[in-house]
Amino acid sequence: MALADSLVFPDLLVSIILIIIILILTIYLTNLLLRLSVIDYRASIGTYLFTECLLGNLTSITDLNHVIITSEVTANNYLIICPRIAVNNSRLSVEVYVVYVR
Amino acid sequence: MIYKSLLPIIIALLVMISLTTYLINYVSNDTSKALNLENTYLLSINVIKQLNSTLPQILRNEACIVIMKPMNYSCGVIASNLTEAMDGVLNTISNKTGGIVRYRVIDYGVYGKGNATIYRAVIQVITQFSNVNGVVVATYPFNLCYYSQVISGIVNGLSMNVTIRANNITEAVRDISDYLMSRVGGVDHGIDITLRYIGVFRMIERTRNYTIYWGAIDYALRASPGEDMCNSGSELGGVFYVTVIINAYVNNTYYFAVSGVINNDRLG
Repeated sequence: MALADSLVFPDLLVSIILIIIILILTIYLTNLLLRLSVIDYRASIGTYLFTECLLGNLTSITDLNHVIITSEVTANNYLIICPRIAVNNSRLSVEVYVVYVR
Repeated sequence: MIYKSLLPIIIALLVMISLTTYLINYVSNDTSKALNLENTYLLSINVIKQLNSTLPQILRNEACIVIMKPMNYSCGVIASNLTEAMDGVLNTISNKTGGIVRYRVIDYGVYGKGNATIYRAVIQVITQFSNVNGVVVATYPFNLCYYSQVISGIVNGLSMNVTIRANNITEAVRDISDYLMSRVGGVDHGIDITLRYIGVFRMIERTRNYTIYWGAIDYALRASPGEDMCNSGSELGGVFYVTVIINAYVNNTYYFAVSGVINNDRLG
């Protein structure tokens, strides 16, 4: 009988509302943690690409599935802009590599 | 009273959310700052470093053009060609990055110093966050400015017609050789010059006191850097006219010829 007493209105209602609030907060927290890890991911990939650019190996990155290398700035969320200057047939030529992550 | 045990969970969640929010702001700001710093470095200092390592190769090609055609090309041409090439590269970068970075060549020049040619340019890199000035220097181990100046000086000097006075023909032949030597001599800074010449004179007038001969001297001037740099030098040819006045009545010599090779290094 005591169990049945505690489960009656309004206790049940308050419990359900609180659980829903907890759920929403948990989802929100998970979302924030995900965003944090994405920022962290961008930072570490950016540092890696920066060093690869300095070493001149940027174009040989093929094993990173989330990295897209284009030749122009098309959107503002680029990670690294890497210009490479070379001599081609005794002329100066330049390639600009702009790296985005998916 | 079951719901009272749920309240601490909510408080814990709220604390974690506020902490995470703070962390996100902090990390996100610093990440974008770091990425901006990295990109600024890549677009300014790294570009200037790359120019410093690639421009000497371009200078080497330009130098060969000057070495082969010193009459038409000089230092000034090198300066403008190198600057133009650099400008093209910098504009391409600027365009492809959508104007995030802009470059301006503030100052440039080329000059010869001792046995070297030095090209120097100052570039201003303008980004959203900073203005950086960088210096691009390319050197070539041969004084091209002096070279083109000396060669055109010799060729221009040889285009003048000459009158030589002598007591006899042997002396006249020696005088012609001396005259050419004086034109070619005194060249240093590692330039090799060889002048071959040949000329035929014929008598055009004769009186009791003097005899006048007139002739054309064909010459071929070969100039190159002392050390082999372009696998070639320059070959220039020309002709100039010489009047020889002998202060005597020359009896039976109606024609005479001169020829020879003059080397500047023989003069030391």
